[in-house]
Amino acid sequence: MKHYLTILFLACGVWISAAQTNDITNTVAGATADLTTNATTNAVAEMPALASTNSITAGTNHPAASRPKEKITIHSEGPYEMDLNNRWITYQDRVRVTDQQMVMTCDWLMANLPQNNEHITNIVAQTNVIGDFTDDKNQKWHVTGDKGVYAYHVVDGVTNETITLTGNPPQIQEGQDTNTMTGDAIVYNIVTKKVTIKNPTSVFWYGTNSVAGTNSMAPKF
Amino acid sequence: MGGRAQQIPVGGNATDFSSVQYYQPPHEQQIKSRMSGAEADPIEGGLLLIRQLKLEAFNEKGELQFVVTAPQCIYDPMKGLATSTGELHMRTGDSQVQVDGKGFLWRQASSLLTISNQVQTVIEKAGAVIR
Repeated sequence: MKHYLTILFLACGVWISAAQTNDITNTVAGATADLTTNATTNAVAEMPALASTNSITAGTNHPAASRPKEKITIHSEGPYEMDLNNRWITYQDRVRVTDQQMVMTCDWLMANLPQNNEHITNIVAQTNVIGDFTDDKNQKWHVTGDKGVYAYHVVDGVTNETITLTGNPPQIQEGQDTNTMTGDAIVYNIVTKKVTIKNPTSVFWYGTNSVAGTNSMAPKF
Repeated sequence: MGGRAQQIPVGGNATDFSSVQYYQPPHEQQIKSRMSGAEADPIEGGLLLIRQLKLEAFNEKGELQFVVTAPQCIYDPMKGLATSTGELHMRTGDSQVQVDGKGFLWRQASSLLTISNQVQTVIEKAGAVIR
């Protein structure tokens, strides 16, 4: 119980991290070429590692740093269930998760309850998953999907920590522009800070922040 | 963990009520949940109207997991069910998570808490460590 929703915040914060710098803009734009090439295949497009400033990562040698007191609010119309035997909590009906930089809504949210200070391993947000984030540079991001899954596992000392958005299909949109990408799944690897679009199906990405530094407005497919 | 836990009504009187549930072996000495109230008045059907409800849940180490408080609830000692249409407040043992809602059902045997409506959770975490 101790960390159950705190880690939920962590998971939500990861989405913020993914959108906190222009680097993601660049990397997203940089990935466009690959996506264009692979749009008709079962390819997996992987973006370069993100250089986010406030992301929570594992396996680094940097000293731990503190950040200010943080607050997150979760509202749902109910019901809410907490199952201490099976170690799950569930929010239902108009679930809304907010903090200073983001709002995420969905119809159903479930998370496991870790024990003894263990790490939470699963969070599932399902049906009409919508996230709106504002990064430190006031850049707005919008993500949609039908299902979002946070997963944390340690195998042979290697940490795997991901957020996967699927269904509907999942989409990332940058700000007010029409910069969008969709695919079968959008996977954010929290450890490597890489965003992967599985089986990309469509890409509209204007080149104002492209890696090449052009201001091309030509959409790419 | 989980499974069917031992339920032992501790008893009490009109101004002092508590019902305790223990873990199964090997943690049978540890309290799993404890429901208490300032007053417990018998009502129809063998039910009890409990005022100033306090429901506490602990892990196997005896550490407090959460506390639920409510102005009142109706408790069925035979079924181990506590219900209310009124408001409740819950906080975790470390007080970092606070939950408010309206209407609830506590299933003592299965340790399942359902909050019916208007669930509001606030998480405040100071000095989170960034690795």
